[in-house]
Amino acid sequence: MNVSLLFQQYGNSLVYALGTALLATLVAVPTSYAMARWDSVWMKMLFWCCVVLLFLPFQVTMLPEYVLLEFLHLLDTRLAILIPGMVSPLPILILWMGNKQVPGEFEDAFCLESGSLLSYFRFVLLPNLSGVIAAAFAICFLLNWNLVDPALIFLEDKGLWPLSLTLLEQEGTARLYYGILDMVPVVLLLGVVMVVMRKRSMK
Amino acid sequence: MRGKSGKLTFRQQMKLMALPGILGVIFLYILPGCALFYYAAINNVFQKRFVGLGNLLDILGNSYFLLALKNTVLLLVAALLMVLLLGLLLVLPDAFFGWRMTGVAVVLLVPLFMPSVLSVELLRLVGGGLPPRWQLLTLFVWRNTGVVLLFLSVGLAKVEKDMLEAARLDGANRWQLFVYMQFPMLTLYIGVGAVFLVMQFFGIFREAYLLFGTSFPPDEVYLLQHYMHNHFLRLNYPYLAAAAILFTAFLAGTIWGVRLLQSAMRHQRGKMLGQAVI
Repeated sequence: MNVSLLFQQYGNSLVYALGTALLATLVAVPTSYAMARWDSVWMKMLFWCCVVLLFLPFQVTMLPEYVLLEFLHLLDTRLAILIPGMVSPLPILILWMGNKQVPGEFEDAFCLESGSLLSYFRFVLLPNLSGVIAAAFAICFLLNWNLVDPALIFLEDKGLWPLSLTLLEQEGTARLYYGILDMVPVVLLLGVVMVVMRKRSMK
Repeated sequence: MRGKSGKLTFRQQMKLMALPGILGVIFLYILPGCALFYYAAINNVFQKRFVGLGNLLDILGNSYFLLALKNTVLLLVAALLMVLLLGLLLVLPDAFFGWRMTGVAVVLLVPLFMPSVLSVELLRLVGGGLPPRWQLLTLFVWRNTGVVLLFLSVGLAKVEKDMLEAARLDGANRWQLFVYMQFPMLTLYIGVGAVFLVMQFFGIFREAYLLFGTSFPPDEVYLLQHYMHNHFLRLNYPYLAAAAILFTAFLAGTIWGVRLLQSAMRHQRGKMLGQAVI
């Protein structure tokens, strides 16, 4: 068991999962707000694009992504996972649903006080959407923690592989130890989510 | 048009802030997606001779593509039905007796978030002797029932208790309550569950790869994802691109069809309500 490689790959898993979840949620917040509030043909087209993209298996988009990453010379780097993961349809659609629940009157009322959209986000929208944003972040993190397909295709250097791929190559007890290590952040995150949800329901 | 003070209006700021997401979708998915059309129209990556629809016709006549298509559709329908039925079965105690099934749901959620390798190992320990199709289906059902059960529990909790009490006073038994009152309210959540399951099924290549150890599994579980993956590894980009375009077109068509069906049903319901009011 190569311990330094193990730590590096554990770090890779964290970078990919946390990085993708953070970036995807960050990009999804204003995009979903525009999708929910801006009545235009383009937003409708974007919405349906996101819906179709949500269902597509990785194998359909793997060739276009490979061509793009090769063009940008990003293959076999960490960005090969982070860049495509940055614009993920799942958090956009989850946050779109959340935005639809927020009444439009909040915007009108806020317009009387200030003209800055960033203040609106900070004082009204994000506090209202905090649960949904947290859910989208958690779901993105958990889905990317188990990354196998893109990492297998886009990353050659074993030093860049996430833990989920190395598990494939282990046998017997090593596999068990790696597996337990792999589960630790997942269990922690689920525990935190359950505690927060219980606190909220007690309020 | 700028606001009175010369600063950007709300809507202009909104469009500006949404730009990264919109540009991201365009440059990461839509524009590179055009590469699919380029590769689908050439004969191979070395000669790059234009063949138009030739690749599409080739794969539609290919026995492996048709096998993959058959298996994908069959397993998708089977998996969907099995998980939804199991979810409904597990939510019955909640519907009938009001027993909260959160404990069961949490236990069933664990396999979804377990690393795929571990869940595959556990399945091999327990069900190693099953035929390949049943191994894959069992893995899928075991991993995904938890979330569907969660959706159904949430849907059931939203049914108003007063309505159920009123119906019970009128003499309805538990089964009638479920069939005529609770189940219709659950149809939306069954729909959400079905959407989630279809998403999960299309991502099943990872589990199939880990379960069978190869991207050339036994014939009965050879899926479209395997077909496309193998063509990628062999640099058969034209066939991969043609299959991908076909897949996307079929998916987009199905989503559009479901939309049309939904609006037709809503129109029908609106007409019926209109008649009832009169």
